[in-house]
Amino acid sequence: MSEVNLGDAPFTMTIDGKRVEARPGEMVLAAAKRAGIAIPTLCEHKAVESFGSCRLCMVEVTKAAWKGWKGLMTACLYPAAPDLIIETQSERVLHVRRNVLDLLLARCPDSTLIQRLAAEHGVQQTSFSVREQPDLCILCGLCVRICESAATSAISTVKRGHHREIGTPWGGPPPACIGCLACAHVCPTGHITFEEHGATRAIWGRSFELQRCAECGAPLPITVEQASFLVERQALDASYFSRCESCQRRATAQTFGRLARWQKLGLTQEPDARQEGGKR
Amino acid sequence: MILRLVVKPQECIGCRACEMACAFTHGKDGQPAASRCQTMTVGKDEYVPMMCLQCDHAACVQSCPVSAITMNPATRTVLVDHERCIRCMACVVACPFGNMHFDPSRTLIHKCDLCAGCGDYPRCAMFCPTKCLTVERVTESSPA
Ligand code: SF4
Ligand code: FES
Repeated sequence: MSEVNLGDAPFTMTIDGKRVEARPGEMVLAAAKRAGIAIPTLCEHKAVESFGSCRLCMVEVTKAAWKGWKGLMTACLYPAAPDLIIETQSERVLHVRRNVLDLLLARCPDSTLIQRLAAEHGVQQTSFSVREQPDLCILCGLCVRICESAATSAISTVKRGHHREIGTPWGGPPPACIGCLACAHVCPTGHITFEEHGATRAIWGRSFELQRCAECGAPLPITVEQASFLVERQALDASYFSRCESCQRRATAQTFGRLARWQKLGLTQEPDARQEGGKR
Repeated sequence: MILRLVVKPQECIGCRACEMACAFTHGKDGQPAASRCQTMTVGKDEYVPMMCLQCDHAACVQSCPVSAITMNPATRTVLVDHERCIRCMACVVACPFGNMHFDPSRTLIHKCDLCAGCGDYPRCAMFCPTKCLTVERVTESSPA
């Protein structure tokens, strides 16, 4: 934390009575994971900074110097530090986790992931009243953060209070969306759905044409909009996103095959490529 | 220690032992889709086993919008961090050799990692009956 300069050297701390190594700048969750200590998470994803919205990763944090005081913190947001003592399975932690899952189950009774996590913690049924017309969204906001950092901020949380949901500008097809499907792939509960038929992909009420292979015309697994986005964002030539996997592989194999043919004939150097091409 | 997988297509007899070895190493039941190595037929009795070339300035690395693909500096192997990957498929399209694959059944990008974490020694080379696939040990000082 800010008052101590941790430098770059790894240090140790205690998790569930075990000495584990942690690195400066990383969170308790990362250190625990490396040590093989499982902490349940829903909203954490390595591609974005932790956000602490699902509250499932709560752990108890203390230090010897804290004279018995223990705090409940989200492991995904609590920085690892020397001499921290973390408990991931204490009665208090399990109690909080059960509460979180109880609430999530009331919100998303149909989510198989939430059902499974809840059951693992002994919550078979929610003790709250189930939301009317429930969907699978736990409002963790991971989709929004991924879209913001890896794509175009096409979606966000909309409305307030009970009506809060993940949505698009004015509820219409999002103009900034490039159809990359990252939101759908990272969503822990599978709330965001998409469809793909032939060379079209539909998500968020929009329909996208897939980029086609310049050689064989087969649809590529990215949309036309996504290809131009990647060209600009990653500062690459458009040719990077213009051919399908099998055409690329075939062309490479043919080049290698040609080289091998000449090697078999005892030639160390490939004869003039133009001549070769002319003969074919 | 850097391991380098050397491919000599002129030695390939098209037996696909490498594909099987790869599929059984990286897939649960040796599903062909799990193989990161594909033997291509390029002519009569001419075959080329194709897998990641572990490029220095790899197109996959450059195309990934979340920097999920990196080269391990110690082993010189290009690796995908599946926990960071957002499955946008940019790398699959960007690889100029067609050596980045997507496994739809497990929704995972996969590529040849020279068996990192699976014995750390290319299994395909162990099973290749000819001298087509061999492994060279390169010391840091020798030119890449
Ligand atoms: S749609 Fe999925 S990722 Fe987005 S907030 Fe809801 S649960 Fe989280
Ligand atoms: S994973 Fe830490 S709050 Fe969601």
